[in-house]
Amino acid sequence: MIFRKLVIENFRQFIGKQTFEFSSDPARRVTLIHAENGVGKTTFLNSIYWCLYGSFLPQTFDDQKSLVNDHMKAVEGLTQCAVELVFEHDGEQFRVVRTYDELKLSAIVQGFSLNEGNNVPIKSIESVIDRIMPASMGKYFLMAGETLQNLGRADSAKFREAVRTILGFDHAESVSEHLRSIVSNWNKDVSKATKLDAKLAAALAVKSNDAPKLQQQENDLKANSIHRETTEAEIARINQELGKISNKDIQTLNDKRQAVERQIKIVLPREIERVRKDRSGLIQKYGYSMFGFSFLSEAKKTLDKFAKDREIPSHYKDVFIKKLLDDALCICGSSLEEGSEPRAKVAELYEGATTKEQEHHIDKAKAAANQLQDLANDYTHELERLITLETKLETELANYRREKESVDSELDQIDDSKKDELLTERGEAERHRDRLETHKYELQQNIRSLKESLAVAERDVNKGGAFAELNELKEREAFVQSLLDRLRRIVKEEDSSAIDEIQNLLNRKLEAYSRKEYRGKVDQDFTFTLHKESGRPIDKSTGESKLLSISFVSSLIELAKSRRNENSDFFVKGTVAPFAIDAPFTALDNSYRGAVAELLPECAEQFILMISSTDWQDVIKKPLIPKIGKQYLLVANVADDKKERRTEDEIDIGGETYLHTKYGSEVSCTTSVEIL
Amino acid sequence: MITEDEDSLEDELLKDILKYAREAATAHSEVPVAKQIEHIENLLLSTMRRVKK
Repeated sequence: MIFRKLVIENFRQFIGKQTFEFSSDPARRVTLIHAENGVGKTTFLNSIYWCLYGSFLPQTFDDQKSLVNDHMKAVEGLTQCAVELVFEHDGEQFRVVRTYDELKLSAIVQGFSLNEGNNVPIKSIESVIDRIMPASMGKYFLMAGETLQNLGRADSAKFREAVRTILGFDHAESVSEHLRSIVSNWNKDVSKATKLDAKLAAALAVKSNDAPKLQQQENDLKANSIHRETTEAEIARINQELGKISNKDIQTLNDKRQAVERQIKIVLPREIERVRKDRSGLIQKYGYSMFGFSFLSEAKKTLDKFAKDREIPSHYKDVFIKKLLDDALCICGSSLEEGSEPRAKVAELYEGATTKEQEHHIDKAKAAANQLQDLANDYTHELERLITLETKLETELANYRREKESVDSELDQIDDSKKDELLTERGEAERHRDRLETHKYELQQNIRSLKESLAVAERDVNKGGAFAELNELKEREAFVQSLLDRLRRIVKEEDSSAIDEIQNLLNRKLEAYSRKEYRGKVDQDFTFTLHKESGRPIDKSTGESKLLSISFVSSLIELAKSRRNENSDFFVKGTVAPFAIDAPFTALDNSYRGAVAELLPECAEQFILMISSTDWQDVIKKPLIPKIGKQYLLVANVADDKKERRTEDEIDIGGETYLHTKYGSEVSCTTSVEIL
Repeated sequence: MITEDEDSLEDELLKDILKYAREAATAHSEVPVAKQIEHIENLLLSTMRRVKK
């Protein structure tokens, strides 16, 4: 990028159209802008930056909305200002015009390609500019005094930021962040899929553990059943033996006991179980009617109320009204002639009259509600009946138990050794049978619970896991991770080579600029230190800090230039662009000034220098003058006619005396004069 | 698993992503971060699909 022409129109302190042509002759690459402090050096730089990027250099303008020249705004009622820049890149010329409307507080930009003097509009000039020199890079090429000072006080972070910006690492960093955020999102999916797999693994574990357990318990239950049968047979045998004892009382009591025992162990438990089953069945049979009843009974109440109030159905049926209208005769005897008022009134009734269909629906709803009500009543009655029956059976069971105890007590009192022996034997067999019963109950419970957990496990196994999905997700994650590692490696490689390159460039500058034998050292974290040849770090004075900043910035410009032809697809390509700098000589002593003036123009193909009369000294003039291709003076016009012309307001350029401050102007503003 | 020449594949993809990030960050086409992430995610997925074919 080489600047050709800049036109500043009513922008800030510049009034009217101020045109500057830049030198593009490599041998006389310097365009010098003379200006005193506050006259417009920063505005000049900012006008270029604003024209290119629509924003301002960091730490420059406080008020970025008031851009139109105050006088033109107040006196001429002007609301617009503009900056136009013509530049050349790779043999093509471009013209950028940015216009600001202070009423709308917005700017528009127009871009043209200059083809044999013709302006050919470009759809997105900003893309063109961004490709040649992005804004982030631009701030190091258009260097305001404030930025340079700030860089002079910079810590390693600032230097690092500058180098990384020139290389385009900031994009790599934002890409890294984006990739990390994608990995983190995908991680969530992985953990979901992992959970699903964990569920499947747990279900498979349940299946492999519980299936054999179930088998075992079922086998135990079968064995239990055989034992119980054997024990029952043993009890039956003992009872038979008891029956054979030739004692009538024993026989009678034993028969009675067996009959009671049958009631306690078989008949009544079976009855009670049946009643309980019937009770559970009631919910299945009547549950919906209980739920629907509460809902429909409300609806029925409402229907009944409407019916009572004669709202639904309507008092009049549609067939009745239709007949009156067809006959054109009311039941009261009035005529319902076409067009008559009574006919109109009767016709109105037809709209709200009850139709056959409505009647049918209402009857159906009422019938449903009644049916549900009947069912709900049936449920209540049936439930009451079953509860009563269960209570009765429980009482009977308790009575039989008491009767059994009484029979046993009577049997005990009969004196017979054989009977005693058989009773002891039967007691043991019955206790064994009871234990087997308890065990049977436990086994049944266990089997039920194992079957339930196996059914759940079976369901989870059938749902399947997320093996395939998980593998895919893990593959994706590994891919992005590998990309991130690759990006990190590339950035690291570029980082190291940039550190070496900038250190070499910097040391070449320091060798040339500095009268002392300083060496610059750039660490991996971009900590930037000055060392003596001996390697001992040195403290920087203000002048040396400034020198270091200038060396650094000019090294950056050279780094960008050297990377211009580099085939780096990963990062921003370097660029050749004009280097414009404001007041680089302040705080430097004469020997440094001379060196800086000698070498600074060499680091860029086009060099724009802003300088005040204080710095326009022989030590600077001497190396600069042979390289000056264009020269302008920014004149401060002061609307104060009381002040006299003073020697301090003059500047000597090329043997001619110019006024850089003019008093008695119509308006206070900045204008420019080309020094020929 | 991805079996194509992974280095060149990664490099090509990285170049595309970096190019996109540079364009997305320019002053005239500032793209919201969420949108950028979505676009990059799509680039990743389509590359993976292409490789798997």
